[in-house]
Amino acid sequence: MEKRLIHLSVNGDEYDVVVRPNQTLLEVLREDLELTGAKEGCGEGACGTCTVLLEGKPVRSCLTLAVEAQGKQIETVEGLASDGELHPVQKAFIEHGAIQCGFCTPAMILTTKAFLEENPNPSEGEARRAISGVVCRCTGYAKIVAAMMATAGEL
Amino acid sequence: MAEHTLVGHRVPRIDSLDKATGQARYTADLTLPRMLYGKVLRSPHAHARILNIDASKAERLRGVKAVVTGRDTAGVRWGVFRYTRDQQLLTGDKVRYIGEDVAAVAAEDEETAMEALELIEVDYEVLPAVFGPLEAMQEGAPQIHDHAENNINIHVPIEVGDVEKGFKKSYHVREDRFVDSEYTYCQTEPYAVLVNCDLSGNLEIWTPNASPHTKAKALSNLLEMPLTKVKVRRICTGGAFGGRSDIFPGEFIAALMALKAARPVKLVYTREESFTSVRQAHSMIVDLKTGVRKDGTLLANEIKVIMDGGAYSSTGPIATSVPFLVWEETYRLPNVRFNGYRVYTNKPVRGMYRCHGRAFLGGLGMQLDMIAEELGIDPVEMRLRNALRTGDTQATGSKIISCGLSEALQQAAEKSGWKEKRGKLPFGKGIGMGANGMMVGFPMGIRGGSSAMIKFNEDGGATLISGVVDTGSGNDSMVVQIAADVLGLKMEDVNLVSADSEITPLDQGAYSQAAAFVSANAAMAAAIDAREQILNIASDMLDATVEELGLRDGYVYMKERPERNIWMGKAIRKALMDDTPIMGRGSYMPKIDQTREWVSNPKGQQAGTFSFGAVVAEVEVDAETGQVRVSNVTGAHDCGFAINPMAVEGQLEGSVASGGVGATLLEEHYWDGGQMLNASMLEYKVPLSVDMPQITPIIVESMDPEGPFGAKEAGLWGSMNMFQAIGNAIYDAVGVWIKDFPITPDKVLAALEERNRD
Amino acid sequence: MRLPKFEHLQPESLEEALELLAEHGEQAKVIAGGTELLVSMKHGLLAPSYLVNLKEIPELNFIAYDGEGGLRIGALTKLATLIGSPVIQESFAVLSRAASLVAAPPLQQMGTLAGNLCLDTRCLYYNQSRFWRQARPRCYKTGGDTCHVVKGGNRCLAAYQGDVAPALIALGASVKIAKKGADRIVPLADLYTGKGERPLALQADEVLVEVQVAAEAARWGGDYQKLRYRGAMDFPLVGVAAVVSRDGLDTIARASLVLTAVSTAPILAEEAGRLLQGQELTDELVAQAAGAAYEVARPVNNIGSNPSYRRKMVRVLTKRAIRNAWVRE
Ligand SMILES: Cc1cc2nc3c(=O)[nH]c(=O)nc-3n(C[C@H](O)[C@H](O)[C@H](O)COP(=O)(O)OP(=O)(O)OC[C@H]3O[C@@H](n4cnc5c(N)ncnc54)[C@H](O)[C@@H]3O)c2cc1C
Ligand code: SF4
Ligand code: FES
Ligand code: FES
Repeated sequence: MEKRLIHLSVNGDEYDVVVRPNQTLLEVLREDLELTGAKEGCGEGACGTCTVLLEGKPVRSCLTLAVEAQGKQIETVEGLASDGELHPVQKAFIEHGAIQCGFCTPAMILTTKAFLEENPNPSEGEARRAISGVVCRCTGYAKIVAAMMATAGEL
Repeated sequence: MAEHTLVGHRVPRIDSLDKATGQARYTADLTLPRMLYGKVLRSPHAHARILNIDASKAERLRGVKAVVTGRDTAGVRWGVFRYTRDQQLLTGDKVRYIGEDVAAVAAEDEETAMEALELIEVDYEVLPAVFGPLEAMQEGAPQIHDHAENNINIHVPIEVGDVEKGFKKSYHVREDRFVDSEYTYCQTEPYAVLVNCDLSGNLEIWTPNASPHTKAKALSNLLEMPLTKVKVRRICTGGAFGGRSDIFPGEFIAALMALKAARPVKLVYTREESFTSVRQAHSMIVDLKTGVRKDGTLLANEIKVIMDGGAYSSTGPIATSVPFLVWEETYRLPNVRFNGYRVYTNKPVRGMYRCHGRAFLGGLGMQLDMIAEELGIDPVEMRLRNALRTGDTQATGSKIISCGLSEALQQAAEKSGWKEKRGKLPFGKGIGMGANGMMVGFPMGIRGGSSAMIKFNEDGGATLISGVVDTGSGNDSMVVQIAADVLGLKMEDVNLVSADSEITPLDQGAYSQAAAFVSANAAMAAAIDAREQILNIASDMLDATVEELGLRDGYVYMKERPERNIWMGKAIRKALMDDTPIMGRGSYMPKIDQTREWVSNPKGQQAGTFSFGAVVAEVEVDAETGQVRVSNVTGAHDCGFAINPMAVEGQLEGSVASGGVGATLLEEHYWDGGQMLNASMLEYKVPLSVDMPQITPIIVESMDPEGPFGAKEAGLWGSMNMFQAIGNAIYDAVGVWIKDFPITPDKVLAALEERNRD
Repeated sequence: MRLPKFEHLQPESLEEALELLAEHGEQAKVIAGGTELLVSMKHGLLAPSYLVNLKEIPELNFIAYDGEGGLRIGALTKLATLIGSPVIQESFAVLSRAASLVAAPPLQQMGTLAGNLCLDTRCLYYNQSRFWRQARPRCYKTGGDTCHVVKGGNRCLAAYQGDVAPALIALGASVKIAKKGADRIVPLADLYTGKGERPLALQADEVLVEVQVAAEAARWGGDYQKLRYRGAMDFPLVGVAAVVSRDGLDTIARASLVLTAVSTAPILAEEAGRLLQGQELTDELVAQAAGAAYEVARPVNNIGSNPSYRRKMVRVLTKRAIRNAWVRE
């Protein structure tokens, strides 16, 4: 199996990484770039905790090959705050008590960001649908949805 | 302390910033220099004798640094109680369920470890296996443990009053059987453990856990190492829900390998392993006989529960008792007989779960409604009539020192529009109620109390050192909020050191719902102690009596003349110069009858206090498909006092998901013999955002005389009473009782068809 | 969970992709969105030596519609794009509805149309880890000679659970399949063999490149009904697509009903369609058609829930789908 040098652009930083074709983007982010905000809750596409934004869209990084992410813009939760300022979605999650154990939080925040950028004034039903691919076992989603609705229109 | 700046307010939690920015670290996120990767070889058989294990090929594989098997454990057995020592954490002689730990490998990388597993040869002699508790109890069933006759692992018998007489005096008696299938915690964070060891024999462990002290003690026993050398470190935990308290094979195995290789070892389970090889929740068969007076007053209860405990005891004695206890913690039961049996089967190990006992609690709460209907009594009335009240004594002897159950019932009914809706909604829509009481803590010996310390920095900032454990529900933030409030500091000025078995004092952990009542009580006592010391010094400096002084925003001030004040840092420095440094100390041991024992002596004060809750669920049933949608939930909970209302609400909302939509309607395991067919996030149905109802939380504050600021607990809100509320609401909607949890659409439809046939 | 080893090949044109597939034959597998394939590979169900990645081939990613030529959708079109397409929403609502019920939004963002149509059949005894499967003998689908679901059965009955195929089959869609030096166009229904072990009539060197729907279908009404326990994420336990067209005011000119998740392939409920044709829609007729659909459904106990319940639901969902399709027409 040939190792390959690829170029990744993550949170605006450029990285050259040597990867094997069978490494997922999740593995490379966590193990090679030490960006552990994306989590492996299942590795099978069914929990969403591995969510990152690829070209602005939420994807399962556990089902994305690292070689496929070459040349694309990748965003992880670590890149959201800028110049010490939290992203409005992060602020809303904190203020509304939308975070409990925090394991789903990076995925929820990234999914919310992408969703609200595309759909700035959603209905609650649309907001719920947007996060329907990410499992949260702690919050019952109520405060997450509240945080989403509170940020709507702000992005 | 009349005016609170923090306590009682909706404050953002101290851990949210790290979690929102991806900086919070969970076990699988950690790496150490020269760390090895572990993998466990598991049993493919439900029941088999291990004849031989040959790991020599694996040992010789390049990159493999340690291989361990049952031979490395000298046969030590683990049990939470002295009388439940039945599990070899790395089994040597026999495997008792599919997924049990047989051997493990630590290697330079995960691929090598996986390759090595394939090289380990195990000879098994397959034995007949048994998968249901009723079958396991029959004569001639395969014997899973030599010591357990008829595979009965635990039997809890409780009898209070004169049950026969109670039935005789009853106006109406009903008997029902309720059942449920196995379900699971399914914390979003899969199980993981990292162990580091050094040459001086210190062992450091990181693992998602609810109780570092419990884990450390168990490991020290098992590894025969002094407790001071076994250090379970603080780490973020991605949910626990009762399932991360006792010791698991993973910690033991990783430790064995780290010691053997003299290098750090990390073991991260797949989701499948997290389902099969850590803990699940029990399934139950529940027979209930209830007798009442004409007015609905409970006169007699006869209860038999048979639980499928899986292959080992785990917290079995607790698990077998708790369903009954939470019932006696809700209602006045003058005459009651309970027989709980936990039975061994060749299935994964079952432990305590946040939504423990759905067949039991769902059953009792639904049977109450059945009786109410037969007697023509409103279900709310029925509950109010039997509800415990402050000053009552429960069946097995616990005194209730604060109780807001009646208020919770009334408020939930009122806010949900119960009167206008119950029995009056169109076919397909329904409303139902549930209620529960809950022990706040339980007897755990020396581990049942908590202590805390506070030290100060010269700049006026403080560090709180507490054994409190936060598995996600906000306990860390709660103790900081309390300490800051007492000390007149901002929350960001109080640093917290917690959940480290070496550094922080003993604490029961995020277990038994005792964090607010016990851990926070200890933290509050430490803060009050420190406050008194500060005020003493400041009274000299300000020439005032202690009574005349207050603390606010980092200043000590005179209450009558606030312009006379000094910066707290000054008092702290003065104390240092005077050689009387300020060190707050506090502890709390709940007033529990420590002679109470789960099996041998289930009598006496069970817990320091009890919390109470009521919920009303509204459902929509599609009578053609049997699908049930919960549309609204109104929950009222007596948490004593809401230290952070936002956190209290969050607990209800979470438990409406796990206990309500999840445990009541969706979650179960499918089996083929001992093999679980749905050990995955796709096939095990955890509720999603789109499945959730609108939730209206109501906080009832009974101001507990013992609790910190009156607080009790809020974690088991909804997770224990949603079963009955939904079951009752389905009856209200379409007129069928479903006595088999989870209430999946096929069952609803079958019941409707049967009714239409009759 | 780790992926097994493979070489990753990244063709930039269809021609190059076909060339690579011709060269590597059975050793290669195409990857589109990867949302099914990579899970299967992690489970060790497949271990191709080469993955031929179609993601970067622009010519496979398009939606084209004109009033005469009909609708053409490139194989690599993401489900999210398909759902968002105004033409499809307006004129082929059954298709956008079915696609919108696949998994959850992020998976629709990754998953492609061809990947969805080419889903493998599923079974709780098959879609499991290598460790899990080791605990019992191989079944027909993994090269053995037994079935764990139907004891004594003589073939694999793993379920086809794709959501989109039934909608497209009901619309009478065809697919264009290409291999090096040759193209063929076949009715989509013929892509499915009905064999649980090997559900697709596709050679290892073939690629599905395009889906075609005739222009007349734009005038038909359609609906897709899906039964699942949760409001998102789950594969269908039963799915029913209905497409109807009107003759005059009250008469059904043509009706097509296709079921998914109740057999080894999407199945056309022919009798149900025939019953409706040329008739006026009455409750009784709808019930009859639903009964005919029920007759052809053959669910077995291999994808969760229970098969007799699932079969009953064919009746209910068929009724609903016909009613809704009729209203939309
Ligand atoms: C959690 C989860 C839930 C899901 N729920 C659903 C659901 O509800 N309904 C549903 O229908 N699906 C569901 N899926 C399956 C899957 O995500 C979708 O069907 C998706 O559309 C598949 O497309 P893909 O591009 O990702 O396929 P891939 O995984 O890339 O490919 C799937 C198969 O098709 C083959 N293939 C791909 N493209 C071509 C081509 N052009 N020519 C020939 N062969 C090709 C591949 O070789 C592979 O065998 C779910 C998946 C997950 C992980
Ligand atoms: S249906 Fe039978 S043969 Fe087919 S995958 Fe399932 S168990 Fe194997
Ligand atoms: S880890 Fe990727 S979806 Fe669960
Ligand atoms: S906060 Fe714990 S999983 Fe969402």
